[in-house]
Amino acid sequence: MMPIEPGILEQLGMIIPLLLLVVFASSILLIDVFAESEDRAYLGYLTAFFLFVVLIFVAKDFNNNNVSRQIFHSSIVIDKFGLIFTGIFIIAGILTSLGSIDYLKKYDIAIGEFYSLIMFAITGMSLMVFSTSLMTIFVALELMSLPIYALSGLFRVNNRSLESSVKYFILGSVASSILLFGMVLLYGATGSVNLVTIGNEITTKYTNLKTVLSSDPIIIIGMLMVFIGFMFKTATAPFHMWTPDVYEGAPTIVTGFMSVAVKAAAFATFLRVFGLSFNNDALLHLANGAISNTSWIQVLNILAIATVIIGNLVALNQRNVKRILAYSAIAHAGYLMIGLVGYFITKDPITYSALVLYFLSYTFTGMGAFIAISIFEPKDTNKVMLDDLNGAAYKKPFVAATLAIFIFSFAGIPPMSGFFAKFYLFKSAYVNAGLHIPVIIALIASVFSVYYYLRILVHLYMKKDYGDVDVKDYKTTAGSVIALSIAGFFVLYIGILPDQYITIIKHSFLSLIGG
Amino acid sequence: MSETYIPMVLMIAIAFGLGSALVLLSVVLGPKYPSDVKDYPFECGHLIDSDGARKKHSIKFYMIAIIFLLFDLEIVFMYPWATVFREIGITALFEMFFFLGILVVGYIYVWKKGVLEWE
Amino acid sequence: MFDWLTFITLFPIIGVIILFFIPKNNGTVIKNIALVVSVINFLFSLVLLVGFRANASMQFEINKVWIKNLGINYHIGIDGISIFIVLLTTFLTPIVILSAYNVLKDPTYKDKAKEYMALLLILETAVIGALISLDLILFYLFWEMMLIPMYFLIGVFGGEKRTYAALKFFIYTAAGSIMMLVAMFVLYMNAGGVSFDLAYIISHVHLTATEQGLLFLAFFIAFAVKVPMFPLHTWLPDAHVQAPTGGSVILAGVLLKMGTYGFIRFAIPLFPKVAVSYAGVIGIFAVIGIIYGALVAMVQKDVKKLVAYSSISHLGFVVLGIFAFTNTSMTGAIYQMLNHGISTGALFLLVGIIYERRHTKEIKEFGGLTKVMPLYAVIFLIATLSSIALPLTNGFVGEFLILSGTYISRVMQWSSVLTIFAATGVIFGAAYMLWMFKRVMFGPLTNEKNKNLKDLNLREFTYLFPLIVMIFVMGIFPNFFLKRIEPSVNSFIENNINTRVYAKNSRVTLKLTKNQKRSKR
Repeated sequence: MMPIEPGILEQLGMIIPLLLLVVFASSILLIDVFAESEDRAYLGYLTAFFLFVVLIFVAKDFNNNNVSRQIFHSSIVIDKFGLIFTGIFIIAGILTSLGSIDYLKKYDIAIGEFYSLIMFAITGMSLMVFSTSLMTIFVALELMSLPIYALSGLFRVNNRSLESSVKYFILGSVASSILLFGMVLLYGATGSVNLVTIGNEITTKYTNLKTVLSSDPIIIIGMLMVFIGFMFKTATAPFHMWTPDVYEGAPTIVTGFMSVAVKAAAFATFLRVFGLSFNNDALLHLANGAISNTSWIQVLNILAIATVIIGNLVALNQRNVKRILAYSAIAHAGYLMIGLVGYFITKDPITYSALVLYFLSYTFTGMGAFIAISIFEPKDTNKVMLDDLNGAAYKKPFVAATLAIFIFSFAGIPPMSGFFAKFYLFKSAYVNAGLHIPVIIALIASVFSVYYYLRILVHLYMKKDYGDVDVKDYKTTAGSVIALSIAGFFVLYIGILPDQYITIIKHSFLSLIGG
Repeated sequence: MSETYIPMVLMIAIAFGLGSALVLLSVVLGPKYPSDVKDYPFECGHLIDSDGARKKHSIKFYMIAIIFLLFDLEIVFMYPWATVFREIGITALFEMFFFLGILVVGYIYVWKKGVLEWE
Repeated sequence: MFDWLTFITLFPIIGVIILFFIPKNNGTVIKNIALVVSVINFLFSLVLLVGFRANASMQFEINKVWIKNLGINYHIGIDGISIFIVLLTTFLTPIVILSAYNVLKDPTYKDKAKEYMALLLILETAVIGALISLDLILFYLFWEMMLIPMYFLIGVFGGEKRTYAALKFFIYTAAGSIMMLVAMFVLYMNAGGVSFDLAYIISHVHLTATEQGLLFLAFFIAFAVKVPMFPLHTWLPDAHVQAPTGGSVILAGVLLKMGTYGFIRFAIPLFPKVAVSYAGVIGIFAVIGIIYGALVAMVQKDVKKLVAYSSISHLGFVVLGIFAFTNTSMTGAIYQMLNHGISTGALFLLVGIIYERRHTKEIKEFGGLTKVMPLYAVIFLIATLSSIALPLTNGFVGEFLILSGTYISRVMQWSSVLTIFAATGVIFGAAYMLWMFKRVMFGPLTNEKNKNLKDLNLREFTYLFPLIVMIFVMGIFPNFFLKRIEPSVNSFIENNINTRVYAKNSRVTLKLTKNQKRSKR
């Protein structure tokens, strides 16, 4: 049964944020090629302004949006769930474009394409979370990935950057093709690319897993392949191997964008696909089936625990700051996975809002941390070792102080936002979803994480020798300072008064159900 | 069930048979006048000289080729659009203009970046 | 009514914000602002004392919804148990700030005065916040928040192995408190998943004996690390020796109290039955801590380390007094917390003064200091005597109450034996303190470098004087304090131990709840 679609103008009105993103991205591209001066810093501010305009539209839509309807032949749906995540991507984009100004200047890379690519990637992410059709999801995924491949190879003469780009491209393509194959199988089994239709089809056809397995094993295989595709993008073990190398090699500011926005997009789509298509009881509990006596919820659970342990343990012994943050990003993916599993089990607004609050907090924390690290990066190495940070706090006290805030937020120490995000996530997983063992393991692992997070601060504040870094390299202009202030402010603000955010997020859950 | 595949099998058999038959026939029946020039490795109008396969080509070749591919592929979208244009009506026209607008932005970008200049 | 508690908690933060706008090379201004802010905060905190009525109720109580979605309330209040520890905090902070004036002249730290003062003020906020919280998560929040400034105080301003000590301090405490967080989840879930409010959870929780045991262990370890109780004490000597003087004073004076305070406020009321049944075992560990701390202190060559180990011994008394569960012993334990803050605080300050002059803390480097620093020697003697609990000093009152109360305890097994062993700890304490005093102060003035040592200057005397006054005031007029502490302690024992553990009707309610559970199934 297909709901009646509104008229075309109304439909276009509903996707104004997406249209604006495309228009702005194209105009940045044109401004860049027609600009006379060599200086490209103003493009960063312009991009931030453009994104802020889009953010206002998103916020307006969020307030007015009460019924979510599928539009454009049921290929996308504009609902509060998608809008809240679009907001998160745009915030990450604003911080990236403000923070990148100094970084690009440090490397003498005066290119406007950077900002245009960031905006196109955000377009892809937003489209992806709005999609309710497998085809749109795939197109959006590629629209998101291609700019990121290009961005991670931004330093064309730097071998690490190139390696990162090529590695990410090849592995990403493999993951995309697995995902696409899974989608094809699902389409073959159900005869539709629409997530809702697929979900209804599965629900009406199959009452328990035995019937699925005997008549249509393809559904299970397709579902697993879709999962693998998303797990790759979210850097969940055992598909996390690419993360450290890619994060290390990519330009620091791009790493930040990748670890925050791309991950959030992949998780959100994961949630959307699952919530709409595979929420059939038969699929939820493989326990009835013949494969083994475990449900795949438990499989995801084990993978989440493995991700947390691998991320935190391997990070302990790293000396490269970007690798530390890369492994910590894996660990955070593990925490999020626990939250996601919790949501899969309960499907209530509490676990849902815990997950989204974590993303909100992680956006500010992660972007802020990477911007601060990018300022401390010694010139022309694209590599930040712990020793490079020695005593840096006394050269750039403001940047270091904000970095300390972000590091404490990562480690989950109050009153930073990371504390309540982690607290709420674990509380909801423990209390509401009953995931006792994973939460306890994650908490123990997060004690280990305190060690490597604090090592960064030890080098920043407590080493007396100042390293070889020339003070000139630590140049900060308004862009970075604004970005760090915004991120720092919100990390503290969400950390002290998270209530209103949780309430807003809970509102977006209702619309997800209406899907 | 299996009889539905018979036409496909037939199709494959005929295609394979016809192809190999024609090649075989030309080998058997065709006249042969071998010469040095004919045996020389042939590559897109270039003669292979001492550099062998390592010879450097201008990057412009790749640029042009990629841009040609891109624009050529985008044009393919116009065919299905043309077939349903009447049904969708004026909306389709605006949609296509928007699409072409993005292409034009790309075109201007490529132009201003100097990809189209040979020298 | 004006919300004095919140005001006192957040006032230091205002100071931090003011400091933020002052250029960092303006050392004197920074120090003076910090001092003024902390002194004003102390004066404000006296309002609490004036407005405090000597009964058992929670006073200055504020209960507001803070995070509705998470069931967390901004629930604060003070009673006789916490009021004097809050006052101790506001009392010690200006002293510590004043004592740090000179340390910051050192070229290494010259430009870091702002950081030092800001950290001290943030620490004050966190400590007061933790002391007044009556909501589990609010408490946890301030509890963890205390770690950050202390970590930096040790790590940035500490001695040679400061990084190691700071990390060890952080990891020990964080690891302890993570399990407490899990225990809080379980309690929240068990109490119906509505609120983290302490009183709500106490009245709504229904746990089996095993669950109670495990959860109590989680809380107990978190607090025992902080106290620190034997055998979880190993971070303390490192942290004290490496920390700057101010850090040591705050650490010993206030932070360690958070552990014992946590026992009284959270661990025992939440799980009274377990606390009572394990009182004997805990008492044994406390006595081991008393004797072990004293014996190890005796053989120390470093004055500061000696005082650090004496802390382990003194806190052992406090734990013993708490878990004896008599009115007398628990009152004594709370009194002893204050004494320890003042006398050990004074000792650390005094050690800091000679360290500033001589840059060493080795006992053998000194000797005969009475001849060059008579005033210093007198004050040192008073602090030492307070620490070994001589009558007329504050230490005597606390230890006497603890030991006499523990002896008659009907809850703690073998309490009389434990009291006797603990009393030997007092003797050991006198031995190592007086021996140390003798080696440092008396004898011939052999070391050349000591001959030109200057006696206390006005600033040093100014910040030591209040401590000395308090030693005598608390030793001679203990009633002023005890009559405010006692009602709360009496009702604490009555409500938690007599009613919930020993009264017959408590068993009836337990059975009822079991039946209810069955009928639900």
